[in-house]
Amino acid sequence: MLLIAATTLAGFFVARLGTTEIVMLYLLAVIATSYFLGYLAAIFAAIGSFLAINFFFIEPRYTFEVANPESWAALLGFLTVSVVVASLVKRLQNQTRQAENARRHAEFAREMAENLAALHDEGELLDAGCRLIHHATSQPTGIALPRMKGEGFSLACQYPAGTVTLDQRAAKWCSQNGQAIGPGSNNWPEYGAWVMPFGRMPGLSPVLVVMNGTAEQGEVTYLRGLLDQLATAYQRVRNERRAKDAERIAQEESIQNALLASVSHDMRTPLTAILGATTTLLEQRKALSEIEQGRLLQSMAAEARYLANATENILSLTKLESSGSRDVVLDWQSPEEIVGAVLSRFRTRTLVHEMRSSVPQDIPLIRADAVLLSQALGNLIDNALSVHHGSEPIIVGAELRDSRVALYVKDRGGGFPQNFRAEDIRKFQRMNVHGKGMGLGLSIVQVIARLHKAEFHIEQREGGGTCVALVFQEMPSGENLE
Amino acid sequence: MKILSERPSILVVEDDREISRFISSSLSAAGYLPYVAANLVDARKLFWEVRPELAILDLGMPDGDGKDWIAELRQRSDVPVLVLSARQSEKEKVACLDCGADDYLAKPFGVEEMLARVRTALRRAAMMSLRDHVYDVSGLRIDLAAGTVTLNGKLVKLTPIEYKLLMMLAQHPGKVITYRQLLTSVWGAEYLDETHYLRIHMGRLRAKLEAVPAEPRFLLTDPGIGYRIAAS
Repeated sequence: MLLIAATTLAGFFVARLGTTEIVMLYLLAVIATSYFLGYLAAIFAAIGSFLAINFFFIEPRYTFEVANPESWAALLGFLTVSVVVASLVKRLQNQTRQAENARRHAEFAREMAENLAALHDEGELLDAGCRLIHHATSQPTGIALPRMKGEGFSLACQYPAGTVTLDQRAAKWCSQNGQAIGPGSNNWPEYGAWVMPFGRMPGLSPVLVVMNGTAEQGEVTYLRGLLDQLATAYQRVRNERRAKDAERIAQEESIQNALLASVSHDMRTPLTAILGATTTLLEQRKALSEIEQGRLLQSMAAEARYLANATENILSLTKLESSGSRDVVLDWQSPEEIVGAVLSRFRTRTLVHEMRSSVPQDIPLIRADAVLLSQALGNLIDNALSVHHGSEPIIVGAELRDSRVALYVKDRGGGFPQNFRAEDIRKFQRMNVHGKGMGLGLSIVQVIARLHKAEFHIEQREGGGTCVALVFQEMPSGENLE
Repeated sequence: MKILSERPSILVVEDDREISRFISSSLSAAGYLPYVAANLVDARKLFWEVRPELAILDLGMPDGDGKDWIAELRQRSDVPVLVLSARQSEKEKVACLDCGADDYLAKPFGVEEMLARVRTALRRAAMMSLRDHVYDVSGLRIDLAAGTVTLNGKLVKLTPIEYKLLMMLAQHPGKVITYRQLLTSVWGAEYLDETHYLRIHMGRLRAKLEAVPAEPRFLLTDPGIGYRIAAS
């Protein structure tokens, strides 16, 4: 079309145009062809132009004969220039396309890095990475993980579903040697798919499988770049999980130590008292006065109650140890209700003037597990009662400390040494000098505080005594809740 | 045929002999007539023979789940059921209350606590037989028929939601009403997760009815389970 247009145009203006102008016109047509239709079409256009110029415009016209040797030179020059220009256009186009590809790839890699950075779960990360690589390559893509038990690999994810076939032999070789397999690589270049390892990891690493791989080096490099990002993110998530596991194991160990310490003291002491009292009553009832018998029975009841409480605490610790935060039921709770419920539990066995509440009316709701929090507060009251003295009541309450809700128990006892801090609880428990059970109770409060992400404060009060407080994280405004 | 006796009869369903022995001894000493079943098969049989005024049920029976028996019983009888449960299992307590139990007692428990629960449950059962009873405890008077609430003789103004909440509790003095039951009946089943509504409105009710809201005399909280209004 362009040649016809050039010929028509040149024919129309042939009277006014010289040979040079006509040649330029055709050269323009060749460049346009090269730009729009590609290199091969441009070569054909150049040959066509060569013949057209010869036929239509070189004397003698309308034949392929060339009378003048100079015209030959001009025609050959035209052909050469046409081919060179077409090549240059082609190269320019290639460079532009490569630059555009590089920009697109870089943009995609940046987006991929951002997407992966937001993920903290191994499964989600692999799934997202697989989906993104499939998007980038437009080929069926899967990720295979070494099986936990037994040999071999299994596909953890694939996009689109059911399109990836996993070759166990290829996956194993690739993972063991830490090298890629497939077109464009040094290993198994005839293989129909790319299989690439997730970098060098201890043991067998996961592998990426991309079907229908081509040997084009740019694509292979691009794919390796994406996989490197995914592998780095995967390593980060695995490290995060390992750190969490280590923290959990440390927590469990600390709970186990608390349990052992308490069983030896908190259970054995009351059991000794109960066994002593019951055997005394069984063996020597006749020799004992009614008052003495009554005292022994009362002590048995008190020790049994204490034992019940200690058992409850030990069960709690065991439960928290085995389930961690999974069994914590966080819900909106009213500090007023928790304080009220705990106080009413103690009312049956304490005198009214021994305890009072202090909760401001407008205290906000908190996110907490009501049962665990009641238990924590109950333990603090138990401890306070065991050391409290004087005429002032123990105060159980809630208050706002810099927009954060604090639940506290204040006593006038000497239960804690000077400058005692929450971090010293385990040491305190081993010391066992301040009444039975304080260490275990406090350990549980500490665990419950941690499960609520609350701070645990032990503060000396002015004028003697202690204020033990759980300070919760700031909550959204209560007004938003209605 | 109901066995006639002046002493209120109580069916104790408990498989542990030591525990059922001390429960029945203390019930006898307190003037009740206890009948003991060591499994659910015996319990079913004995229940319809004795027609007790109250049943005390341990959930962990060797031949089945106590909860199923409560649900089965509720289809034919309103007899109050007091459940004995482990202290840790709040979910189980809620499940029992939701399927028709009247109250629960956490193991281990003292006799005085058990007898107090028994008395409350029996009193409530007697009250339930009078339609539209009046709750009148320590100066708080809730007239369910007239729909009025007075505190020490003074009329208390309540919002419709506070009123509904209070009526729901006052219809069953001493009985724990679970969060689920309150949310469903006051707001509707689609509000089951909106427990903060309950906390906020119960807080306002306490502010209106209690002298010291953090040490309530009437509106008591069972953490993680529900609310109850004091029976005495």
